[in-house]
Amino acid sequence: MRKNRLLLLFFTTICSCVFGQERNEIIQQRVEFIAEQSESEELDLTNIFDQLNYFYDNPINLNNTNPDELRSLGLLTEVQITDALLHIERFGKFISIYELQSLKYWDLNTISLVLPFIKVDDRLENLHITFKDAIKNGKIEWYTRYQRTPERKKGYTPVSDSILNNSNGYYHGNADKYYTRFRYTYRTNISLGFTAEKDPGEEFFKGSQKNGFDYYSFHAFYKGGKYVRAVAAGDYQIQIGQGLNTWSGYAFGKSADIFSSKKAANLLRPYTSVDENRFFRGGAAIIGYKKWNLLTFYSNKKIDGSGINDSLTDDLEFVTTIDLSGLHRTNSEIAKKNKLSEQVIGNYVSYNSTRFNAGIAVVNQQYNQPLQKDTVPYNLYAFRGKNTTAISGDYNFVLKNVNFFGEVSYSTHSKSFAQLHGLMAILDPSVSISVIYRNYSKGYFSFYNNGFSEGSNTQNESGLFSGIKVRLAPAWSVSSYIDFFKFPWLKYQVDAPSKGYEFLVQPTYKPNKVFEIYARFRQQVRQKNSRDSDGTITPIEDVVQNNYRLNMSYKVLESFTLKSRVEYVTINRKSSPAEDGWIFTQDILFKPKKLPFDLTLRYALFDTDSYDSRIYTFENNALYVFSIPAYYYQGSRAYALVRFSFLRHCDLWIRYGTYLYANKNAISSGAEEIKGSKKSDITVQLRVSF
Amino acid sequence: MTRLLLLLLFTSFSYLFSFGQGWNPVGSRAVSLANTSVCLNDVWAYHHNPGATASIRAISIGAYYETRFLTKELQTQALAVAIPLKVGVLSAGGQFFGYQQYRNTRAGLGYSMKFTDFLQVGVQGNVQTLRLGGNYGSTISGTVEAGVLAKISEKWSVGISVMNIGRQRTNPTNDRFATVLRGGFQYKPSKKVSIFAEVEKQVITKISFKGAVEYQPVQPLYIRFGAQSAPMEFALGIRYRVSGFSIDLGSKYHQTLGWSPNFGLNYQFKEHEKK
Repeated sequence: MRKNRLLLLFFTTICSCVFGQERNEIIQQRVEFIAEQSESEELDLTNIFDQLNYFYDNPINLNNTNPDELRSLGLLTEVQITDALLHIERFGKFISIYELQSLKYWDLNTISLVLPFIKVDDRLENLHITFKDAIKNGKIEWYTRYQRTPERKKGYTPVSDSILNNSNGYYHGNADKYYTRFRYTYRTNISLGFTAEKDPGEEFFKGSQKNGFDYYSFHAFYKGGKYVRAVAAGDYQIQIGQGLNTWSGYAFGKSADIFSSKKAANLLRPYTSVDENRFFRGGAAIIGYKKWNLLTFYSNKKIDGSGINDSLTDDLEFVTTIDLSGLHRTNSEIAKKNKLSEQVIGNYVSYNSTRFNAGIAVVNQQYNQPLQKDTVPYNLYAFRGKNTTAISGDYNFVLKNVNFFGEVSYSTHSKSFAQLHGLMAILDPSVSISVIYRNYSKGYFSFYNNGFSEGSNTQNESGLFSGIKVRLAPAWSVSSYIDFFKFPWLKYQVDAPSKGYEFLVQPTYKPNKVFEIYARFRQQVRQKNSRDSDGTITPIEDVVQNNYRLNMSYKVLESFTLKSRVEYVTINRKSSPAEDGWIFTQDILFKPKKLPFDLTLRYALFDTDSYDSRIYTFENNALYVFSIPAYYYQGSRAYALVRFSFLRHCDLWIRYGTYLYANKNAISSGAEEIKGSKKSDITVQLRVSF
Repeated sequence: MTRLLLLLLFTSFSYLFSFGQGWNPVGSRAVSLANTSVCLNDVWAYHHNPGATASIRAISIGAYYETRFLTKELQTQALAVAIPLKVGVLSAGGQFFGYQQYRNTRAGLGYSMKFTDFLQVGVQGNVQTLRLGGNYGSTISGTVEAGVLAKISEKWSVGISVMNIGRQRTNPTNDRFATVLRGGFQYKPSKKVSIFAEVEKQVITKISFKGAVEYQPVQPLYIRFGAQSAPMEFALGIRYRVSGFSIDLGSKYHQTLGWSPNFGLNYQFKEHEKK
């Protein structure tokens, strides 16, 4: 009883803390929680952001929700979702939010994470979309962004036209990056928007870019009918099952948060980001009857590629490489643009109930020209030709406290399979585990997939991942995972079948709401080509990378947070001397409640032996700009980010950051080379929202 | 093929094999938890922690069989018996490894007792024999083992054990039997779940870290999963219990050498746990 009272006390303090926070901070915190787990320069969490933003304004009514809606928060596990829904089935509607404590698999941590985005209301909201309401209550957001590296890169050196047009060392456009995005949303039911972007070095309203921006995207999206459940026109995303067959957009992989290793598919969503390739363009619809859904989609768009021209017609005869960078700055990049048409047609039938869902997908993908990659050994099983179909089945169900999920996919051109099977279990309110087995054959291929993997594709890999998270005491928890993987065929720069493993352990100490410290050890063992090859057959060797991290975050005052991190990395391989690297970062976040601005500062020193021993770290940036750069060589990094809110509807972000390197008189190489030892970046973004 | 594999084992993977020098991890439960077994207190504790057997309250026996990497030359058989006395527990065990040309046998007796409510200690003496084929003959010598198990609280236990304290040699002029020092803990947040973690060091091999989970979703069934480094292996297994009998099935997996399935059978004479 006393324990319960304590819980309640603790819980009410959580509530007051949570509701005292500002929305941006709440959302930022959760996105960081997700982002901190991943290591990649290119990260796009726009969708997560959008979702959380929306649910902050329109909390999910637990008494009137479905598994999909709860999944889209990205903060709950399957078992927890089922737990809540079964609670309603068994005991009727939630009467108060405090009832969540009685759920077996919802610990206080989970509750405090999702609390801002859920509510309990016994009035069911009947959705009537009227034109009047849509005009009145719709939300309009408009973003414009400018980014630039002020130092001149070699590619921007003014040269005569004859050199510019005959070399690939110079960029046609200026060094600015422009971006604008407009979006109208009405609840989660209607979304209309367009996005435009020009990358640095691309031309703008001249030369190769007569239409202005290099990249345009439009979408119209409707969701919410009884039978016509969703319709998308323009650019959209498809996510099916566990991503073996079709998954456009971003997905998490291995991370200290073991639950993110299972993918939560968002079947059909409007596309609002700027990756110039990983989306579909055309139309899609979900038709449903009771618990059955049929998704059908058609996409046809141009992609970049280069190849061999037909000597007579000057058209591409076949394509040797596909370029997914989305950059069109030099002659060769411009020449690749839109050289190839890609068409994807798919159907997906699924059955969904509270505890069980399953589906079958057939997705046909083709190019208008045959693809013929270089005949090097590691490409032996690469996709060749024009056309392939991926046929897959996926399942996901919950048995008591265990969630089983998986997918099997078959690719017709190579007659090969990819499969993934996994489970997540909450063994005890304080112990959760996850196990994922995957086996992707070396010939398996589909255009857009994103299965759980160590490598970059859902291909040529088998492995077993197992993770555990234990809450030892209210303040102490430990996460750990180990992942074994094998690559049955060669890979780029690995001239033999190879194997490896990755191990992580992370104890976290969080005695109260304001202080958290965690330590992390991660060991990755992978095999790569030896560096002292005699030019005949290159043997492979183990490359052992260890990362040691200590991270602290301390909320000194309601408006003032300090974050520190020290990370050390070592790399050992037979063919070259041992390397190591250090980074030390200090962040100051100042977010006064009473003033219309907030300020984020970072100062960091780094010292690594080479690019190999680089260390990735998350950086704050303007809303929707995600950066997880790697720090390497020796030097310092600093940035300041200011956000002003004014005129009730406007927010302005200004960020200036700079790297100062030691012992360097040139940074980078080729067209990207900067003379000197300084490299900076500027970001300015304006948001207007109604 | 078998020969090639053996050659491979004896050369590049000798470390996998080093516990062939006088001591093998045996017992299906222990092996299915990737040898994270220094805190286990069933009859098989005889082979892992001589001090842990002191918790046994009924006569128990167990038999075990494993073929490492599915190779018939690398079979292991083992036995364990525990007999509670008025004070302390008497235990006996044996393990047999190898084939005609190389056979290692170890058998002995142990005694353990509860020192206080939370501290158990035990000692063991084992006779080690090593027989090589052809004209090489065989050797015989004895080793001494000891261990402690401390139950710190309802949820936490800590165990430490040493095999071959005296660093006995295989014969007067030659290599020594492996000396193994292990320390680890068991965390039991509820009746259904146990989490184990452990460190093991042998004199001439790399330090090994291990972790495992045992889960009992329903009364008669146990599910186990574990992983260890040096050698990097993972393990899984199940146990099914019917009255006094329990049947174990499990396997370890090594990335290069593959599966090592094992099987175990145990019997406990009288249920001592109050249901």
